[in-house]
Amino acid sequence: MAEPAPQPAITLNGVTKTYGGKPVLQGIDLVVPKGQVLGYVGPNGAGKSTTVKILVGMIAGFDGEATVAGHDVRRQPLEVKQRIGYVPEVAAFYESLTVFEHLLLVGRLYGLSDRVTQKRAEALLEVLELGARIHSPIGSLSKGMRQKLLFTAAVLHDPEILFLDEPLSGLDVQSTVLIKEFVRSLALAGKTVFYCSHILDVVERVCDRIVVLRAGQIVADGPFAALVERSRGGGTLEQVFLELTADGGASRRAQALIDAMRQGSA
Amino acid sequence: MRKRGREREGTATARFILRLASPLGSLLAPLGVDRERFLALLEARLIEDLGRGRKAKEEGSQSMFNGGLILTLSMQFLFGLVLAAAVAMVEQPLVSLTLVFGVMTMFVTLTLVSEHSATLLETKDLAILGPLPVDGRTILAARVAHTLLFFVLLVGSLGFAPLIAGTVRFGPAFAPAFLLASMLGTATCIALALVVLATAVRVIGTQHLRTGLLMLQVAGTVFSMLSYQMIGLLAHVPTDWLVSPDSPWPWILPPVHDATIVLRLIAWEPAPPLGQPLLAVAVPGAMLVCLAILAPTFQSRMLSMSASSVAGRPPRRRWLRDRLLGNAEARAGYDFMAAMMARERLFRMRAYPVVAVAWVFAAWIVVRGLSRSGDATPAMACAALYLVGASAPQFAILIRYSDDWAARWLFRTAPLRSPAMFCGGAVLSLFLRLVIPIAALTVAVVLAVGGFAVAPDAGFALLVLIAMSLLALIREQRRVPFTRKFSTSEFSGASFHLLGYLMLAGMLAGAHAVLRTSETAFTVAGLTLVAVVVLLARAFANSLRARQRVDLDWGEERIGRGA
Repeated sequence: MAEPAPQPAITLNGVTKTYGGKPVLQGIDLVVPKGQVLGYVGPNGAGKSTTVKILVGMIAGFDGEATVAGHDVRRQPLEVKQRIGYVPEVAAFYESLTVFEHLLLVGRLYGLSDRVTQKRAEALLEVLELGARIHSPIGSLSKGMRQKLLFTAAVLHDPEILFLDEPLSGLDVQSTVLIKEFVRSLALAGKTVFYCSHILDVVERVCDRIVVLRAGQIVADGPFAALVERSRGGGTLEQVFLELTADGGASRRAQALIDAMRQGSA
Repeated sequence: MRKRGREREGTATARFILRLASPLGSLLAPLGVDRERFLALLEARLIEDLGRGRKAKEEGSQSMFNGGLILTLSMQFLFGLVLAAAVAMVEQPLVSLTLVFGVMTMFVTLTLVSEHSATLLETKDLAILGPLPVDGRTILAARVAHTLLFFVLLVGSLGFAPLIAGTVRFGPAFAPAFLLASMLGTATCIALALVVLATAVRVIGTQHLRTGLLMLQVAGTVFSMLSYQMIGLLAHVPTDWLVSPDSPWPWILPPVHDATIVLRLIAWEPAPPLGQPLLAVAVPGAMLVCLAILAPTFQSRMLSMSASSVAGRPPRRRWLRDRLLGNAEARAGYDFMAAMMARERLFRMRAYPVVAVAWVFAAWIVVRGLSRSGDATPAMACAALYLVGASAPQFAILIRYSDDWAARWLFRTAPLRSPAMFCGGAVLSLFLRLVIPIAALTVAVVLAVGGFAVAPDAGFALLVLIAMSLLALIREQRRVPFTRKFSTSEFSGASFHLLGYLMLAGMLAGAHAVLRTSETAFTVAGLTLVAVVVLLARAFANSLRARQRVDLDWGEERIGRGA
C-alpha cells in the first residue's frame, strides 16, 4: 500500500491581488513541498513581496486560496503565524526598545517562556556576533545589525516554514556566507524556506527550486538546472532571468539612461 | 480617475497656499535662505499635509483638516469672544489689549509646545535631505514657514472677535494696527522658541538636549497655563502695576509691547513711551538675526540628535507584574509599555506636560484656596483631585501613537491570540506606573491639607476617576499601543483635548459641589457611582477574558502596499 503523499508546506491556488484596480498578482498557482528551499525571484514590482505578505497573513484581501502548513491563511491566520518565521524586506523596529527587549516581546507573542527566549536569544546573537549589543537600543544598530536582529527574531520560535524577503540586505560577507549555510541546514532539518531575493547567484546556489515571477504571473518554475536547460540565454540564473523578464537589451537601456541624464543640457 | 482628480485638488490647494507664501521666500533671501529650494521644501510639506489629511479623514482619524483642527479653532474663537468683551468694556485699553495679546501668547506657546515642537524638531526628513544640496538655513526656514501658516489660522480665529470689537470701539485704524501687533506677537513666540532650540543644538550634548527639550516643553506648557491664570487676574485686580508710568513691567512683558504698538497707531492718549512699541519690533527682529547666525549648523546638529546610542541595561525583574499577569501576551504588553513609556520620544513629549499641568493647576487651586479662606475646603480639594484625575484617561489616547508606528508589522505577523490580553497588560503597566501614582499622590496631598473631613469627597472623586478610566480602557483595548502614525506636521487636537479635559474637570468639580449641598443626593450619587464602577469593571474584565479573535483597529491600512 502506497504511503499518502506528504502535505505540502505552502499552496497557492489562483491567488489574485489588485491595488486600486491594478493587478499585482494574476492567478498564482504554486505548491511548495515540505523541506524545500524555494527561490522566488522577479523584477521590481513583479509581486514577490505581495505574495509573501499574503502568506504571512499581513494582507487578507485577495482572491483565490492560500494555505501554509496545512492551514488556510485567511480562516486560520493564528495557526499559520504560529508556524512561520518572517524576515521582512524593510526592517521597521520600535527604536527605543533594546535588542533583548525586542526579542523578549517576540518570544512572548509566540508563546515561548522567558527562560527559553533568553537562552535562544543569547545563543543566536552570539553566533551572529551581536551578543555584545544585546542591551543596546535598536536605534543605535547599523543596517547589517538590524538585519541580523530580524533574522534572530524570525527563527527564535523554531518555525516550520521561514519566509525570507531579501534576508541578506546589508549583511557583511561573513554573515552572508553564514546565512546561506544556515538556509541549507534548515532544509536538511526538514524546514521549508520561501526565499525572495534579487541576489540571483545566492538563489542559484541555495535554492532547490526557482520560481520566476513577472508582472504578477509565474513565467518559469523548476530546479536551476532545468531552467538553464530550457533557456537559450546561457549557463547562469542571471542570464535565464534576463531572458524571461527583461524588455530589452541591458546595454541599450543603459545608453538610454545616459541620454536621459543629459536631456535639457546645453 | 477619481483618485487622480483628488490628487490634483490637493496639489492645487498646496500651490495656492504656496503662492501666498512665496513673498516670504524673497523676504528671507537676504538672510541666506535659498528662495527656490525654500519654496520646493514648503510645497512638499504642504502636499504631504493635504494628502495625509484627506486620507486620515477618510479613515476617521484625526488630522490637520479633520475634527481636531476645526474643534481647536472653534475653541479659540470662543475664547476670542471673551476677549472681545474685554476690549469693548474695559476702560483702560492698555489693560484689555495686554489681556488679548497675553492670551494670544499663551495659546501660541501652548500650541507650539504641544503640537508643533515635533514639526520643528523632526529629524526623519533630514535623512532624505542630508545628502541633498540644501543648507540648514533653508531647511529651518521651510519648517518655520510651514508652522507659521498654521499659526495664522490659530491667531486668526482667536483674534477675529477682538478685532471686530476694537474696530467698533476705536475706529478703522484699529484693524491694521491689531493685525500688525498680532503678527509681531506670534513671531516673538516662535522666534524665541527657535533661538532656544538653535542655541541648544550647538552647546548641549545630544542626550542632554533630548531630555532638556522635554523638560522645556513641560515647563513651557506649565508656564503658559499659569500665565493664563495670572492674566485672568488682570480683570479683577488693581492694574497700577501695569498702567503706572513708573512701572517696569510694560518694558519687560512682550504682550504689553504689542498692546502699546496698537495704542500708538490709533493715536490713543496718553500715548505710551515710543520705546515700548519699538520693542515689539526689535525683539523678534533681534531673534531673527540670531537665528540667521545659528541656523547654518542646524541640520547637522539635528541629524546627530536622530541617533540614540545610550547603552541599555538588562531588564529588571518585575515582581508585581509576575503576580498579576500569568499570561505571556499580557506580560509582553506590560513590558513593552514600560519600555516605551520610559523612552518613546513622542509619548514623553505629550504625556509629561499633561501631568505637569495637572499638578501645577492642582497646586495653584490649593494655594489660592488657602490664601482666600485660610483653610482647605472640600470643594477646593475636590477641584484639585478632579483636575489631576481627569488627566489620567488622556494617557489612553496618547499611547496610540509612536514615531516607530511602522514597526507594527511585528504585531501583524505574530500569532496574537487575544489582542485584549496584550492591550490589557499594556494598560495595567500604564496605570501602575503612571496613573495610580499620580492619583495616589494627589489624594495624599489633599488629605494632608484638607484633613479627614475631605475623605468622602476624595473617595467620590476617586470613583469618578476610576469610572472614567475604565471607560477609556474599554474604548482603547482594541488598539495595540504605539501602532499609529502621529504625523509631525498635523494637528491632532491635543490642545483641544488638554483644554477639553480642563473644562471637564471644572464641570465635574462644579457638579460635585452642587451634590455636596445635599447629604442625601451625595450619598445616592456615591452609591450609583459604585454600581457604575462595578458594571464597568465587569465589562472590562469580560472583554479581557474574551479569547476569540477580534479585528484590531490598525488605523491607516498602508502596510500591504507595494509589491
